[in-house]
Amino acid sequence: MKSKKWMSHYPKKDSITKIASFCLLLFIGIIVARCAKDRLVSDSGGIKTLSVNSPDLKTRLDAIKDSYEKQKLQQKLQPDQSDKLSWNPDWEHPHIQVVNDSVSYVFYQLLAQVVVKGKAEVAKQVNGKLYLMVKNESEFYKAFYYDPKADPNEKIGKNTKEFDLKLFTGNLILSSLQNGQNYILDYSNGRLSDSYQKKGVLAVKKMQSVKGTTSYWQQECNQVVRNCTYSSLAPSWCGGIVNIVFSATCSWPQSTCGDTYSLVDSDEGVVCEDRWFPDPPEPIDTGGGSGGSGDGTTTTTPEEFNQHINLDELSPCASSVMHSLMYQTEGSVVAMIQKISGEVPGYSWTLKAGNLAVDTNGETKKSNGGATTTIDVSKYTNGTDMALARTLLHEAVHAYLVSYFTKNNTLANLSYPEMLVEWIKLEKKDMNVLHHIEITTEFKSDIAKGLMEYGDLHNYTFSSTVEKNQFYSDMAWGGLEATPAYKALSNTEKNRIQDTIQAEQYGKDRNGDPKAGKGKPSGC
Amino acid sequence: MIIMKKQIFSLSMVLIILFGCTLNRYGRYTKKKFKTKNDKVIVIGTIYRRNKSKEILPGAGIKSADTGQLILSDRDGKYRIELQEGEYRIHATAVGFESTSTKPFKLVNGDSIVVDFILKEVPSVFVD
Repeated sequence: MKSKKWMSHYPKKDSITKIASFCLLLFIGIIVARCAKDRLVSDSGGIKTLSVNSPDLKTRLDAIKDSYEKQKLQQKLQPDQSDKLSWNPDWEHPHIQVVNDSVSYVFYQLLAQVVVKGKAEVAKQVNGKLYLMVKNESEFYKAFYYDPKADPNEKIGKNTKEFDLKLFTGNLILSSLQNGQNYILDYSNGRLSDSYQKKGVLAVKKMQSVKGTTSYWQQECNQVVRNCTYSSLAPSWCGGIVNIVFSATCSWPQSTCGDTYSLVDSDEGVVCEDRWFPDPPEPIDTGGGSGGSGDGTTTTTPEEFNQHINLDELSPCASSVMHSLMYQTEGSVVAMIQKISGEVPGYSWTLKAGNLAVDTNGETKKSNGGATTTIDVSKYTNGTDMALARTLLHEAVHAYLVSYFTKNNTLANLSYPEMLVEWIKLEKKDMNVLHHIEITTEFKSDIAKGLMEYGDLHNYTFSSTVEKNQFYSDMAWGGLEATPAYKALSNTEKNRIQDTIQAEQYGKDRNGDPKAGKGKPSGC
Repeated sequence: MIIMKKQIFSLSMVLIILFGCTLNRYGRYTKKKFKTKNDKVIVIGTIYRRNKSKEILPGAGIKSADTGQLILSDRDGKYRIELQEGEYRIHATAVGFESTSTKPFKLVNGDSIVVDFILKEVPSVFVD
């Protein structure tokens, strides 16, 4: 029986052996295939990552262009609402960057060409900018940089600047032209945001924790993103060229120049916010023709800070004073901001002339990318340039606090905890009150210093150093009369301060008696 | 009968949601409670801006009115407070944002509470 049993097992054993052999062969096959794949990968690794220093740069860039044309990707960029607008890659000006030593990116700006009266015009891109992004010379994406916080009610005028990627803060939507996948990346001050980088670290960790995992995303978070593109489709009457305005909220642009806007394109796609885009690119360096690899660190120089101050819409009388304040040495606007901020911040500040309430000389509001200040120059008709300088420096501090401090409060100012304590104390939460408290404690002496340098440069005369110091210190109190620090001053001090401020602004003391200011007539 | 049961269920769900996510005039907060083996009372959470993208808000101040302890949310908008057993209200605010407070709640050792705040920005004009 036993032998029979053994005999009867023999065929089974045979089949087991066959299966085992088959598995072994399969295993060997897999190993061989794997080795072959590795060899392929290692061979492809022999081709050096494309960079600005690649000896065959031109050939490889030409190959990218050929591949783009062969795949007919141009069609995927065309707007769906209008045939008057077309997007064309600026092949002549590639921006190249290398990430993690092994991944190359080539960016070509997509130029918006609008047909106006049968002629193609290149439009200015407002609130966002489009690029064609090529990853590793083979993956093509439409790269849309935009500021999701752009004010939809901001009017578009001749001074509206083209979207600037310098110290880019906002989102980048990458839409694959080949497989339709969308990715959203967020940047802050020219760097990938910390939260996005953390997502990346987490994704890598998860990938490592499960063998054989090649990709991972921690949370599918489907979100419909709408992006509308509007075109003025004709040059505006106040000058300039045709504008292309992007709006993440599909708000119709408003114009100060009489031109009307038409919807030319709209995207509605599902974007997974938490999907990790491997080796994400750094923001594009728009400084030169071909960008470098970039380490993500960007600094603003005092010159660049001043370039971000827009005086185009300010009256000449105020503009000349402001110009002087900008280019002083120790008491310049940038020096004052740098001292408190510890760095030169990269926000933009627009100054313009306008009518304000009876008791208001200047008014600052938060705007896209920074702050906008309105100066009512009619308040200085009988005043001096010193009165204007005082208001301008005061508003410069508001502009800094509103655009930079509130945006990144933990980084911007070392006195933030004290400011928070003051804020908590306020029964009615009013930022204007808080700013003024902050100015009395942190900026008042710097405003006085800036005014003193302005006075010295414009040959103001004083009988003594004591009088001089007193004068500038008193001037710096302007606009701070509602603060606890001012209220705590003696009546004698308050009267002296008001006599000084009003003499400069109105040529009268607080009783209405004529009193000449130290400065020169404002010319407003 | 089945329809009535469904209605009661829907109503209960609405009530649960209303209790779970309390709204007030200036902002919002959500509260979740966990029991742990820890012998402390821990309150953690994240502070957000009340806007479309619900951005995190670093540097917000979180305070328990009962202890007076003021701490700041970190760069990721997160905070952590350790408390003793007792009844607490948690306040959150940030410069430029309205204050938001929770309703009083009782905590015993082992309670771990997650309170996320969504703060509303104060509209501001700055004048000279």
